[in-house]
Amino acid sequence: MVKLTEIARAIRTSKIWKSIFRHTYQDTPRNRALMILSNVFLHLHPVKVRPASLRFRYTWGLGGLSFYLFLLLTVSGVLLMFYYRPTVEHAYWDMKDLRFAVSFGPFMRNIHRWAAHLMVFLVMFHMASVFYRSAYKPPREYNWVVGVILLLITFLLSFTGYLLPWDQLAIWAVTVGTNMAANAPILGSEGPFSIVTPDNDARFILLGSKLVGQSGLLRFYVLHCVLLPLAFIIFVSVHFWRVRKDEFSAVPLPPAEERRKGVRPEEWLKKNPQALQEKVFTWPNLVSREFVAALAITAILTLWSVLAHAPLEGLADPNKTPNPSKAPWYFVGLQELLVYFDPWLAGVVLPTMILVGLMAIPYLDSNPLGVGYYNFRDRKFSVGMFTYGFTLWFVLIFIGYYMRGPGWEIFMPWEPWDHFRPTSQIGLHNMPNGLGLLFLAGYGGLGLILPKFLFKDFYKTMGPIKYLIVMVFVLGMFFVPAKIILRNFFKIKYIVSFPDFSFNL
Amino acid sequence: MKRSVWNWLFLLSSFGLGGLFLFSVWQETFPEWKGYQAEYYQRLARVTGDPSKAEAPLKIQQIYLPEFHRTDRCITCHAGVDNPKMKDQPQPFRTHPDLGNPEFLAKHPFNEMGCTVCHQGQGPATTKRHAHGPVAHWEEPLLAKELTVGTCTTCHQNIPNLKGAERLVQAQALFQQKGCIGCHTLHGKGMLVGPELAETWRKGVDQFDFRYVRGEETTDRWVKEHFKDPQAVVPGYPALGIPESAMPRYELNDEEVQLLTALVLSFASEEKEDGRPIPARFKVAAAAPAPGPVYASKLEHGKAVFQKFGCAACHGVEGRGGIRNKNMEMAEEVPPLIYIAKGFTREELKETIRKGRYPARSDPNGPAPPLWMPAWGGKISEEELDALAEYLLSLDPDQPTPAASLTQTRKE
Repeated sequence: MVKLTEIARAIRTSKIWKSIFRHTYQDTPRNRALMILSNVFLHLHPVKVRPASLRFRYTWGLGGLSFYLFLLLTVSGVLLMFYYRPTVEHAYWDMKDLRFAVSFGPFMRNIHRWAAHLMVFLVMFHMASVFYRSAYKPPREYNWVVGVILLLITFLLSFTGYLLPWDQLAIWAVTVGTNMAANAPILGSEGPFSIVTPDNDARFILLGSKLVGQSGLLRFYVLHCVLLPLAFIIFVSVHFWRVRKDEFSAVPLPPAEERRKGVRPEEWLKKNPQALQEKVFTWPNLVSREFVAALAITAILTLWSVLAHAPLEGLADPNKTPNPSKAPWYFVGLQELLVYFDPWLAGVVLPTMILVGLMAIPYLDSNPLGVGYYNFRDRKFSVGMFTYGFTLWFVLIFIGYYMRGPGWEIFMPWEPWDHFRPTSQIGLHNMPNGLGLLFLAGYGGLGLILPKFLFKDFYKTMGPIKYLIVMVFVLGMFFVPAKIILRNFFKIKYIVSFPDFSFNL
Repeated sequence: MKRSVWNWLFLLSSFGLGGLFLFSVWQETFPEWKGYQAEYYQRLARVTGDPSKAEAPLKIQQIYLPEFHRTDRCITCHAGVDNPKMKDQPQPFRTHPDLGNPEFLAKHPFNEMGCTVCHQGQGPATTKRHAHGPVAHWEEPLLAKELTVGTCTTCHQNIPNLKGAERLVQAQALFQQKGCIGCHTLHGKGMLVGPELAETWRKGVDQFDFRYVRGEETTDRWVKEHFKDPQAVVPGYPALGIPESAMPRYELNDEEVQLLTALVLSFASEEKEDGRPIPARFKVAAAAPAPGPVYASKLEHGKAVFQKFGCAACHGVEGRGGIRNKNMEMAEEVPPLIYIAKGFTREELKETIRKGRYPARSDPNGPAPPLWMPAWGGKISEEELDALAEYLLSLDPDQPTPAASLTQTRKE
């Protein structure tokens, strides 16, 4: 009887084996390097990393997990594609089949849905984490822009996927979303300065029709399964490439006593440049942590998918509008803004400003401090503004999701929805236009001029152009709660109103 | 070796994931329906005396009906539904009853029609809770046995001659007697005081106000409670001046409520307009239209006209009154017609019917009374008006009260 070890050695030294596996797997420094270098998937990593890069609480694994969720969604998505037909006749019933007749159907569908929600959540927090550790500052500005594009693609992936079950939730959420496109300036048939008709506006391009129907379903299916994932892969490749090329941002922190004295890493590193040279092997140190993080989130998602079924409402019925009809949770903040702003503002201008504003951050922030670690005290203004905006976004989502009931009236989360409650729209009045213009001029004018005199250093470091751009965004951000307060506490609907021009603010 | 957090997390996640995977496999290997199907085969083996039948493989069974846009998986658990040998088994193994009509089962082949066309319920489901309901977002829970007759009209248009639909015929007679068409429209014909009755069962559960309905939020519960006490279920919104329901409280017994609920279902079943239509070849044509009715006397004709226009809805069965009309002068009740001969000449009566009349309010500041005498001028022919006047003038207040209700004696 030949010994097992003899067989094993014979295999390991055979030509076939050696053609596939080009190095051995004993734990030697050489092999640790080769594990990374000679592996197509892993060789994005450097062979060695600084110990600071291993700290979980630096990134919280958010970026890597977002990408992992994308992979999970792709796998579960492809499996779902074997059972789902994107036609008005079959879509909904195929969802029922998945739920009741397909082996592991409920699990597949649930994990796809919950992973999608989780991915949208994680990419937002990944963006916040990158902001708070200044990993967008030079030379990483462009990667931040690519990241914002990826954020947009993630939203669109989730939005296009939302339509596919073809239930009431899907059709009406997409109605709300595509009607925002119809209200775009110029290219939307119902927006200001429109040059198109409903037959050929932005909404028509999205839906392939004037109605949410078969063409829209097929288009969204192709966008969701082919075009957007391809776009995501292209941009995420650039994103990862840049992370490597610009070197991973984590910097070694000074020891605890120095930190307690308030010594910043930048100063400490100048005195201890050798700290930057200390490195450890990526395999196994970083890769093992990435693996466990992915494993843990898979376990959590599996638990969630086994316990909770993804919702499936009634068959899509264009003749029955649920009241209220809500957009998906990540868009419901914008839907909430519709209370205070006209559709072209709430649905097009403000989201555009948010995206452009986000992209502009690295080019407006001239404070070089804080790169590679969490620094709040040297960046009070930028951290304050970002935190305020980020919080405002989630507050709007909370209000829209938990506090709006029939007729988009305010209902506390514990209040049952009364479909017969009289509307709160009575008793609202507009500011007289003269006063309103004065108010806006004052808000804008004082808002632009006052900080220049109150914070002279701020103005000096920014320069006039950057200052102007930053203040426009800041004033815009604070205008939202101003409108909320004016409406809810002072019963003022519009500050200025020119119905002949369809302009209301 | 010191175990870091990552080690623990790895072990926890691995075991968690592995355990959940095994649990998932267990769930998929032992679904609810397999238990029912296995028991069915056991029972089948016993009943037929053939033990090999108990070894049959367990599979999801379905009736796939692309024409109907339906897939019914009821037979996964109700596997004995077409096997006559399972007549004495408990549910869900029992044979489908033949309603006392030996032709019934042959004329309603399950393989061609499925189950949910008649019984409603969620056909694609394979768990009892989801298939029977009521579950959220499936508007058609399984119908109670007494209501199933309400879906016959999905295909059958000739109800009076339909064997097995006797309860529906009874319900239709009750409908005529109460004069519901006097306030409601049915398929567009009738009066506009109340809503269209063919819409009721099609509206969908979220269109009903369940605040004052006890029990599950289903259409049949709402309709039943509404029959029992319309004002309780639709009390209006006094603060906003929205009045309560004007529908009379008919003091129906439980059997009558069941009949009428099935009838309302039958109205909606006639016009199956949702995304799942009935193929035309399943429709059973109506009988040839009956020749124009021949009346024995003008009085008979007048009585038929009285029923045709639903006068009883407001003036009570055989004109005896008793229908409440809130805030109307004269004791807040629609006047009974049995005293007509005493107060009206024939021409006055005909003019009132032609022109209609809005009642005065007893409290001038209160809301308008919900019921009024419509102008029937354009709708009723002179011949019919003549016969009707003859009938009304013949009503005698001293005659004994109408015969006992069409079903059991009324609960007082």
